[in-house]
Amino acid sequence: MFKGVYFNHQVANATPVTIQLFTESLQLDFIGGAMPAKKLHWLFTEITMELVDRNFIRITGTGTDAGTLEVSDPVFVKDFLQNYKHIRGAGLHELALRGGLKASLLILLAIAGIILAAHFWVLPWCADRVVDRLPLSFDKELGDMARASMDEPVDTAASQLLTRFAAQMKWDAPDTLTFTVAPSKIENAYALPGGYIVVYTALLKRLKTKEELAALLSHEVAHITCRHSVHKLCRDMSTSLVWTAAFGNSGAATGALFSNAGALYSLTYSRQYEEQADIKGLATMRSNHVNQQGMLQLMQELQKLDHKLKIPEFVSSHPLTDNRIRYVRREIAANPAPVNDHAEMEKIFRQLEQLYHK
Amino acid sequence: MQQEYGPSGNPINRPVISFKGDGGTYFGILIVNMLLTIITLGLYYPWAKAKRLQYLYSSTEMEGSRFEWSGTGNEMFKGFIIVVAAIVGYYILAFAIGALGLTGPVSGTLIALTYVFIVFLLIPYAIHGANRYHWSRTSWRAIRFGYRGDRTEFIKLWAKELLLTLITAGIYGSWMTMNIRNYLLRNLRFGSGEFFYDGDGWEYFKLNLKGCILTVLTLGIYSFWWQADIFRYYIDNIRLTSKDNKVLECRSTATGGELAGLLIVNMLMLVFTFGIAYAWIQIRTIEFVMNHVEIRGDLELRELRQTEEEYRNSTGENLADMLDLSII
Repeated sequence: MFKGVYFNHQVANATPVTIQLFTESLQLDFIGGAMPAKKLHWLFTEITMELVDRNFIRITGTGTDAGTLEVSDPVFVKDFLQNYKHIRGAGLHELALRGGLKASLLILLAIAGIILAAHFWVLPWCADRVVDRLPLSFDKELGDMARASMDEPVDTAASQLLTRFAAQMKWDAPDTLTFTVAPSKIENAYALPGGYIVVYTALLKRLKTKEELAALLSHEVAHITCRHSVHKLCRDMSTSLVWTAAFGNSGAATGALFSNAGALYSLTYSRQYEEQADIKGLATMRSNHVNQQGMLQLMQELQKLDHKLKIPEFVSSHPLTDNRIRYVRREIAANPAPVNDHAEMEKIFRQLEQLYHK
Repeated sequence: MQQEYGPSGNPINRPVISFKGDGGTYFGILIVNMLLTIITLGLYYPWAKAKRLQYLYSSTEMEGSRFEWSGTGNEMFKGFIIVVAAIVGYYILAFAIGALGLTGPVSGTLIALTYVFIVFLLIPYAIHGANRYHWSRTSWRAIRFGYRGDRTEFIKLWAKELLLTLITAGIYGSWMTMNIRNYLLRNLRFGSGEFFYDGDGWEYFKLNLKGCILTVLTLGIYSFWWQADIFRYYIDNIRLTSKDNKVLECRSTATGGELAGLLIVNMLMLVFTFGIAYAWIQIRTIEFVMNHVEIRGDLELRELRQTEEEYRNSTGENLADMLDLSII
């Protein structure tokens, strides 16, 4: 026997009742009051129930004697659900309502698992498939836009020499490639989608041989032919899209947290891309009969820059050069290739060098 | 406890509203909602909302009985789909206009017309629909609430008030807020009980003017006291009356200091848990409101009778959600 409160759907008067629980039904006995002794019998098939928490349940009779029963009794809730379960399976929500915080935390973990899986495997995969379908003209437009927004000064004389230097090599690229030298104190070079390659003068000055320059260009062109920028863009966009869909506008704080995590993760994307560009760049050098050692020399040159900065590999986008040197060595050893003289390249390289050592 | 008697000789009641839920359970509900919403790419939204409201309402107790939210996911899904379809339709239209290459004054006029349509017609339509649905699905001891406002009347009132607010560069806003609130609450029923709200635009304007000036002078600190004043003005003028002229009146006991405590702690919790404490914050806020509203009068809640019909069209409710109008 349990105690509950009954409402008849006509007036807001609470009538105390005692409840008997059977395997497939409930019986309500009205106690005391002016009302003549009355009983209600509800089959489980004629009721709907709302489990509020493990202490409180609301049961509504939908048959001829429509009425609502409310019971605040954890023992009743447990016993009733045991009998009622056969009629209706338990859902996830019920688990959260009855299990309290512990169940919630488990579900939270499951969600985290799903999000992580989607973030690290499903979404990048989907994004890559999207890139496969994007026309090359998209890269071109993107590159044009990026170039317009950066608006970097151009060293015309050096750019002409660099273009002539690059013309000595055969590129396996569907885009027309544009090579530019930009005056800057930063030792860097980059590739924009659509075939734009920009080398900063500071980096150019550090290169000692034509092979190093060829390696640098091969690496940057590989970024373009692999469409790394577009891949990265699609991956980033798909992630943020799903994130917004899932969380809506719930909390800018979460959003900020995520964007930081996202930035860190996109670094690992980048490292993966850098390695791919290194390997593909080596292949370009081989097919042009350029000495692959140029790539190693380039790395060693970059290593000197690294020592100035001392960034842990986890937060740096280029795989640290020690690591790079290791796999470049391995790659060269595995793929020996004949080397040509390239007198014309040598000549242009020396002209370039002279531009900066007047 | 000694029984009090009012001037009419009827006993005075002090029904207490309290919240029985806990943050952990509510957190669980939100988490499951989130999980299912992610998996279904957002389609679970109506069911998620139903689960959330069911828990919040059923955890709220008055006179020993819990409130009830009887809206269901299926019901709200219909309205949800209609609204989503409308939004998709709108985008297709916008795209078509773009594709036709309309530019300059033509597209400008179209944008302006759309804006007027949304602000003058769609918002009041959503508010009306949301009130109709929301209150019809709210009950206590199986007695339903209900909203009896007239849609055309409300849209006309809204348009008039909004126009006056625009013409007066926002100064009329206080009057508008009060007139809209008066209309909505005066058409609200709790079974045979009728709500009444007596907000005065001038009083509300003075309150806001004072709040605004002092907030600027105190570099924002006064804003909590301003909020408490607004809260008090919203609560203190609510009454529930019955046919035989018995009445229950509400009174706010929240002070600016208490409100500051609540809001500052809420903000700190939110920031330092990266939003995970959201469930607890909402529960804290609900408990605060309930602990700071006193109800007093000779109306007997147990005498309220069922009078309100059921209303199952959730389009307005969903539209209000999408427009991000927090009405109720």
